[in-house]
Amino acid sequence: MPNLSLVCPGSTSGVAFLRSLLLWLGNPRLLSESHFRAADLVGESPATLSASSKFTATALSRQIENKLIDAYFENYHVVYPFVHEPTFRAQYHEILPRPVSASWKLLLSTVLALGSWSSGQTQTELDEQLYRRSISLGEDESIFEVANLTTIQSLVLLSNLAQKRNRPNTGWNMLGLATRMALSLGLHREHPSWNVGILHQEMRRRVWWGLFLFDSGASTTFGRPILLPDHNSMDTRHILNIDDEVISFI
Amino acid sequence: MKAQSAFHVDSNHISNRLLLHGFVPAGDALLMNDILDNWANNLPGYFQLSQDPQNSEYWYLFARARLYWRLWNFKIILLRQILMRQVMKRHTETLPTAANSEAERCSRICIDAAHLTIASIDNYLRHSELSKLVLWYST
Repeated sequence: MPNLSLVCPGSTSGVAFLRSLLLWLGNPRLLSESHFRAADLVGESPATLSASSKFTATALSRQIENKLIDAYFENYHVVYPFVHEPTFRAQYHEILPRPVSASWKLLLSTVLALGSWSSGQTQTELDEQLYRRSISLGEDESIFEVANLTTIQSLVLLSNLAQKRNRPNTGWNMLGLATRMALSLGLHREHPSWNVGILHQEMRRRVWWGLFLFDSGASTTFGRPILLPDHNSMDTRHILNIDDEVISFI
Repeated sequence: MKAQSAFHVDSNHISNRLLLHGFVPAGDALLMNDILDNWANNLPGYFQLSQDPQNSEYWYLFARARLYWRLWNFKIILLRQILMRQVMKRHTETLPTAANSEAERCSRICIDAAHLTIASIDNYLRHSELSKLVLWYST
């Protein structure tokens, strides 16, 4: 009886190629079963998460939060601009009303976690706790029952962090959920008749294409089928090549 | 990000086909390789390797390098199965294979892509600002 808890690396994954190479060389045991176990899906029960993540909700001072947000925008955002910096900062400083939704809290927590991750050379306790708090907030929000742009932004960012924290299968599952939400919001399509403004349109495109390239990349890396729509069933335009500040005023 | 999106729209069908069959014949693989080259040739000038970088901003140099790492890595994924078969064939057969065969061309492109990746990452690590994100991709 096959072990059903093993993950399945398909032929485009590096693992599958190495396995066939080792088989040919006569050393199949070098890649044992443990290499194919979905280890990152084990041990993240809600109980263990909430127990270790409680402290951070109040412990972070405003000053540290500001530093982590700066680090996020300096290190990460310049590579993957999935959040509109002026809007996010204005909401954080309550110049614009801060959304009261749990989705925005999740987004803030994820931005802080990525800021922390991207600013140091080594992994710290703070990285770990911020990551776990974000996962825990995601659970609190009942993410199975919502679909909005902020939650998708959070899931895309959090999936990338999960992958970088050696939890690739956790990240993969988040991308799957984010893809379904994105399709239900119609991010894969242009909606010229919607009067939503250029900024909102642009953010929808950035989130869609960010999700698209993360999910394509993860699927190919793991050797799993890419379930995203192809060019026949999507017409979302590419993102604009301009700075965030410019788009605030057009 | 715009260029990377176009890359995935162009290459996702290749990935899915490789997954289904595990092996793509050399002739088809060369056609797919042409699709990838066509994408690279249509990149804007500031991303072309034949031109000097336009500035020394971290995000720009990183994006430029990452696009090529992605391209060459995808070529390796596409062509390594053919390279491996060629090596195995050479191991078991005494007659030399035709140097210009499609499979030999695939093997050559695969080895070149690996070489270009190593040289590019080595160069990048020597000369660029090394943030954690950069290190995650390049090491």
